[in-house]
Amino acid sequence: MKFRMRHADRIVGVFTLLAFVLLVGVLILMGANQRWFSKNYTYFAQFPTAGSVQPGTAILHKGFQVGTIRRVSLNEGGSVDAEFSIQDSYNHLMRTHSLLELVTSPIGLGSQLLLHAGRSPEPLPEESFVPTADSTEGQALIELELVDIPPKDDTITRLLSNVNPLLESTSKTVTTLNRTLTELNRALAGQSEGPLGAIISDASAAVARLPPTLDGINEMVVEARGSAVALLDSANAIADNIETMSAAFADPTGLVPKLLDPKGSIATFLDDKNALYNRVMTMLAEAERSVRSLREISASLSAEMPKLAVVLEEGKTALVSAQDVLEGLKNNPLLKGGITEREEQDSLYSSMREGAFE
Amino acid sequence: MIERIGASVREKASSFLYALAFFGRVVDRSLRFFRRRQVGYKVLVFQILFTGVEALLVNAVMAMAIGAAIIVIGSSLLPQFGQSRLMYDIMVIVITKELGPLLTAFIVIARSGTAIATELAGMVVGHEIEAYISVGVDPISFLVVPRVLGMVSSLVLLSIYFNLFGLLGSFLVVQLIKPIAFAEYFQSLLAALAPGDILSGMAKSLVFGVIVSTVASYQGFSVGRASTEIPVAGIRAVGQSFVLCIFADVLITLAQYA
Amino acid sequence: MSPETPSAPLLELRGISASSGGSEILEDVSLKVERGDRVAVMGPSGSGKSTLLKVAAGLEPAGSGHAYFNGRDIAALGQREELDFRSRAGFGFQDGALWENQTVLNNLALPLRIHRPHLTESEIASRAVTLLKTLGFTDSPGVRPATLSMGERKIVSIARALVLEPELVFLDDPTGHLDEDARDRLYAVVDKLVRKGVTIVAVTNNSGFVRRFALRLVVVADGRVTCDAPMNVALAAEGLGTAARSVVARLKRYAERDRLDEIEEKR
Repeated sequence: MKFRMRHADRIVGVFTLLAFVLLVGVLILMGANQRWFSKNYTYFAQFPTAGSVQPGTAILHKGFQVGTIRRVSLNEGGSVDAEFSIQDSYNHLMRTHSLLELVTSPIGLGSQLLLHAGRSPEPLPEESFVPTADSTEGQALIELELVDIPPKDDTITRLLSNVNPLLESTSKTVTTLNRTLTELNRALAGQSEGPLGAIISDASAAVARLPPTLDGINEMVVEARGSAVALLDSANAIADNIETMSAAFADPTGLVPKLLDPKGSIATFLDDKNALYNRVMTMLAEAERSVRSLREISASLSAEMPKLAVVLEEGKTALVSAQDVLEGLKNNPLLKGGITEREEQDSLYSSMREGAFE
Repeated sequence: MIERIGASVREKASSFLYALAFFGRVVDRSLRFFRRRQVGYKVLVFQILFTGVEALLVNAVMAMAIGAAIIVIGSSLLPQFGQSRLMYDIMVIVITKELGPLLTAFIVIARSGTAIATELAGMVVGHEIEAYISVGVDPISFLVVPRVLGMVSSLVLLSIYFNLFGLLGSFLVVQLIKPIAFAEYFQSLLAALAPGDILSGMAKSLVFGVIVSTVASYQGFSVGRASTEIPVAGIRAVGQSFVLCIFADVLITLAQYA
Repeated sequence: MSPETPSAPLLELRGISASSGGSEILEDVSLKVERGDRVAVMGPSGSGKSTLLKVAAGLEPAGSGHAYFNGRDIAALGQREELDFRSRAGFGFQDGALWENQTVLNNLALPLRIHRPHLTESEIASRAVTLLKTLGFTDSPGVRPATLSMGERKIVSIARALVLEPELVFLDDPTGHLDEDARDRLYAVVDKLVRKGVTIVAVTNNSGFVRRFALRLVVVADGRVTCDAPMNVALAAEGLGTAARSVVARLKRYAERDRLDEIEEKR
């Protein structure tokens, strides 16, 4: 006790000093660990909504945090301007054609903001604008394969990021088909003098885009079945649906054989031995299948993603108008065949919901 | 009946006002303390010695026990949910932000809150306070302020040590039972720790220090002439300090999360 | 220091009342103490003598009324004025009231450190030790008050009251617990104060002390001043209250018994 009394000043001094040294030490270590002292580079981006890009949101690259959203503000154009910073050790990822992608989990696990490095070797200057994956600019970059997009780390994010381009291409196909058929109709009606050959090649190009799209769906279905239990039902429905569709087309009394009936004698106008019509019908069938499959996915996801359902609905409208054109063709006095009544299959999701009220 | 309620309310109100005035005076004199360093300096040093240094052992043992418990439970339970990283957040919340400051305050209430209250009460009963006044020494400046400052700094310092022992000392304890990699542990902990957490913990310690020391001094001064009042002052100081500290803790935590 | 009114008495009480726990201790007490005066406050136990002294010294609050030092209200003094007042008025406590957590030396050194900041620690220590020796304190000044006898505590308390060499000294029962030797030494010290013209207000029932030093007698009974007069007037007075009568009678007996004529002649 005496010792303590005599050296009170010294003991208290050590006690105080040691605490401060420890505190400062921990703060420095924390700073080093949390990168307070390293330089950050600032860039800008635009998002449709600030919902998932609040300040502080981490920007990830292959699962590593490479940057942070610093500030968001609503601009006059109605979209959201975001300022974000990238840590200096990851700034090499910021190259021309680098891209941000916002991926939202459909089952409510939040969202991830991903950074994809551009394929160009040219570094992006600080404070430049970085496009997002769902902007037209970003779509173009993805399509031209100027961005290095690694496979997503979980099935649901991967599924999600694939649905959008799939829809995009389907809707494009349907639009092209629609245009082709309109042109064709006008040509048949003697209203157009445009080169028919060009139209046909346009249509076939559109069709050529479809198979990979559908492969994508299959792939997704397989993965979804493998891992995401929530999506298993809808994946099965997709498979069933595709089967139903194929069966419908295989039906000898169906639409396709009737259209292609030589008695339709459209062949007299277009001397290509029904090749064009074969193609048109294939296209239509493919497009319908892809839209239906997508609708199945969307039905199960629609709770999370109403936007997706809307896009699909639009795709379907385009498809219906394509069928109207066919209807027109059928009504053409030159065509004697009829068109069988279409069996409409509602998406599983909505039919289940309606059933509940019976 | 109504008169009695009225009288008791009036008494409560006036004693509350008196306590507020007491607190105001303590704050005022505390600020003056720094402007001219006077004889109270020695009292401050001893207060830190008694409140801070001598409570270090209990503080350390408690911190290590709690920290070790969190590590052991966290590292065996949390991975079952795939949330093993949550352990570090829990450690920071429990040790740095919530329990650390509160438990340190409880230790200090039990040790030094009673000591201050009974010592000052003894001084009042022994007319020592009057003696201070008679030679021109302001008892608030000379007796209360060094105790308040000493206790506040002791609590803040102790909370730093509580963190040290709770976060690192506990790691060493766990090494004896269930070894985990130091680099990983330390780095994850540093990543989970935000300067705001440390600041919040220290702010709590500061508030608790002010509460405990002011309440203890106030209760110490509130006795009359009888020596039987001395232990009563100690008991009241402990009870009030506990309640007010918990109340303040809730308020600060609410202010942070609301 | 703010201007003082030189015409005002050194110490004045006006209409002082004080109560504790609902019972009145002092009732409408007024008193004037001029410079150089030596007042003995006497009266039965529990009459409120000690409270009167503490209120006069500004150590206890008065319920109503005011105490004035050099014409200024003690309760309303500013910080610097209060310091000045405290350095000019010392208070010797009845039961010592020593600071138990400080050594005897520190008990005397603290007032010096505050009011005489120009003194070095060794000067402070030597002043304190000299004063203690004069009062006959033989223990080491480094001990704590807890080890002292009641008489020693009293001596240290009086030494603390005198260490600043004040012009006004309040003494609460200065001779209590003192043995004959200690009392003689105390008398010698008070004699010195008298020679220096120090004003003394002492609460005591020690007739020897009163006969030796007091110039004025104040008798307090049941919270009221029942007698306030110069000593010779008081001793000759007629028609006093019971308490004052017994006090005066005691003083007279004391004077006869000890035949302290020399002191009488000196006055």
